[in-house]
Amino acid sequence: MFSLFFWIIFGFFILIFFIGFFYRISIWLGGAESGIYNKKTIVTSKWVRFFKYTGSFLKRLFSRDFFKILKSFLKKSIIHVDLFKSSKLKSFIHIFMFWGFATFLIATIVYLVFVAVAPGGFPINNLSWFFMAILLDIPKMIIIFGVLLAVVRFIILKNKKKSVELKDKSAGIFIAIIVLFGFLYEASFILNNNIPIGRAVFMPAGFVISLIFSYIKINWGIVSSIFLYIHMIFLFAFVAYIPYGKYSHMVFGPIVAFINKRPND
Amino acid sequence: MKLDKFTVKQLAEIDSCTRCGNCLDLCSAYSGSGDVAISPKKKMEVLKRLVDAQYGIFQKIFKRNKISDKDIEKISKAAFECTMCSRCEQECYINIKLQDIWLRLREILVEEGKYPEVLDILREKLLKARNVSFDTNEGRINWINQIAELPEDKYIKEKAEVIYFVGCVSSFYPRVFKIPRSIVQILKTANIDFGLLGDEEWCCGFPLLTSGFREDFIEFAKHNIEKVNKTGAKYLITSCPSCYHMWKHIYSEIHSEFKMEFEVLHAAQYFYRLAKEGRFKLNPVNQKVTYHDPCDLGRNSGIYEEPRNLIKMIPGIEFIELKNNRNLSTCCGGGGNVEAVNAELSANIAKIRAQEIIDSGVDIVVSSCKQCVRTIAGALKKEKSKIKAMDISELLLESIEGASE
Repeated sequence: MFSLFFWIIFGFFILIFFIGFFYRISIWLGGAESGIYNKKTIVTSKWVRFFKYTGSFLKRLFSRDFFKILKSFLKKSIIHVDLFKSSKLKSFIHIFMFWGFATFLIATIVYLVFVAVAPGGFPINNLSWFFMAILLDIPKMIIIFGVLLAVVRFIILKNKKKSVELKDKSAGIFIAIIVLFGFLYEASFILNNNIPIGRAVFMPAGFVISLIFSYIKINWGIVSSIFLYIHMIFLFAFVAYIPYGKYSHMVFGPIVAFINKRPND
Repeated sequence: MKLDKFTVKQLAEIDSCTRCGNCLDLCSAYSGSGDVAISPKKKMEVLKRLVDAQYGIFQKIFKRNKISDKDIEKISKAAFECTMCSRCEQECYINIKLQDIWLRLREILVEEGKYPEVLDILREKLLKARNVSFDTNEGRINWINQIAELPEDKYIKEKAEVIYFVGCVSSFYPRVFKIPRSIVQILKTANIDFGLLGDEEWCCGFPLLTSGFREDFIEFAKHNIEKVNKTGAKYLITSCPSCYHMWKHIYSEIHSEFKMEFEVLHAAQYFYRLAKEGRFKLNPVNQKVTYHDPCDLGRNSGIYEEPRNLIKMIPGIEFIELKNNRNLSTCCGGGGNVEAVNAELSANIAKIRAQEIIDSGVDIVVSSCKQCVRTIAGALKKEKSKIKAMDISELLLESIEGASE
């Protein structure tokens, strides 16, 4: 049942993501073709433009400079070196939130796929359990730490610097729900499967919550499923939301940064 | 609003803005006003919201949200209270060409009829008189009358090796008449065969372009290129960075139709070449001097070192760099037609730069722009500072003529 539900939800939100992504690109393709000072505006269909721009993008990417481009992409869009040079605090906040979320997203998808395809769910007695448990918990705590740093920075600096603001509060709420239900799922999973303490501590946040929940006598199997579904739906919904919201720079920024490369980049 | 007048790349850039705030921290207009609404960061946010309101998927599915008049008024104020200094671009992580977006935004607003009324007066002046002053174009050469040993033709020739394109401000504003006069004296001293266009010189079109009247400037460009081509000149020099930017970068974009048969140089570049060739003797000027980078020559045209090198060639000068220099030089407040739209904002921006100059402890601030010289001189005077603001040509002439203090 979970398997079928997982693939439907996954497929649905991935579809929403790509609809948003390509819809946004179609808005761009409706823009003026010419440069600023040319008198003529060349009218071509969006499809022709799409293939033309995609073609030149790929040609440039897979040119002799491919490894240079890859290095620049890793430095700027993944490690955010420029951000680190200009503001170390902003850089750490961004790294915690971005890397925390990216790691958490990948680990969660792997986990969910495993739960969806393996008959007994994720193998508890396997060594990979430890690795997965840590990967699911630690990134969430890093995200929370990044968010707290951002809030503290905002409170301290808001009156001094107008460039400081808490961006896109709706995204903040999404992430809070994802993280919260992730921890709740861990706690209920521990209780439902009677995970020994020696293994449960590898999910520290879930373990602490499970100690509190242990006093509540309910069917943790059903509860853990509910928490997992909510966690999964919000996670995929957030990813699907990215092209529509203020975090669209996560997907579009690297593309434009590549096109706008300065000569010495 | 016809937001699809933005180019494909510009619409992608609007979506890619990370709202990091680096641009806001660098914005001259924001520093001068404290108003976040006119900062580049806010403008990008508003533009994204407007694009969403007009083309967003939710608007398409449910209903098309119209952009309100209030939204347009706010974005218009923000768009026209920008000095177009492009300092905001300097530390953008995505390398967004913000100035191009602001220019295109102004054009869109002009098409909507949502722009400051004062720009209509400017446009009318330009289309009628072919200059930015209230004078007729016949008055364009009046500044030359004070020059000693003036030939009968007043240097207005049919043929010349170098054409000096004076520019409107230098031609019509007495406060800066010293600049073209200095340039003419220097050219005479160096025995250069130079000529002027006289009243055949029309405005370069920069005020029209930056106000959003894109179609109008092309007529000006065509006329100016034709006139200079007829002289057979090898070089066109100008003391105005905005004119230089127009000739070098904008006119050349339409030059496939109107080919330019000469090299375009700023006067500072040309004089640096002449100085290296030893065409004039440089006498000591024992002063502490700094250099203010004009936005249109520096950031927008990439010329930073030649004016500095020319100044440093003058013996006796102690050259001091300002804290914000080269691509991070702060604007003087004189650009983007902001002075016409909001004189107080322009003055506040100039005041910030003046304070930086005062803090540097120099005797003279030199620039390669008559507008910068004018606004900085005014700001220094308001601060009761004794620092002199000069054009690079004036300093050079002082050295050539042997004045040392």
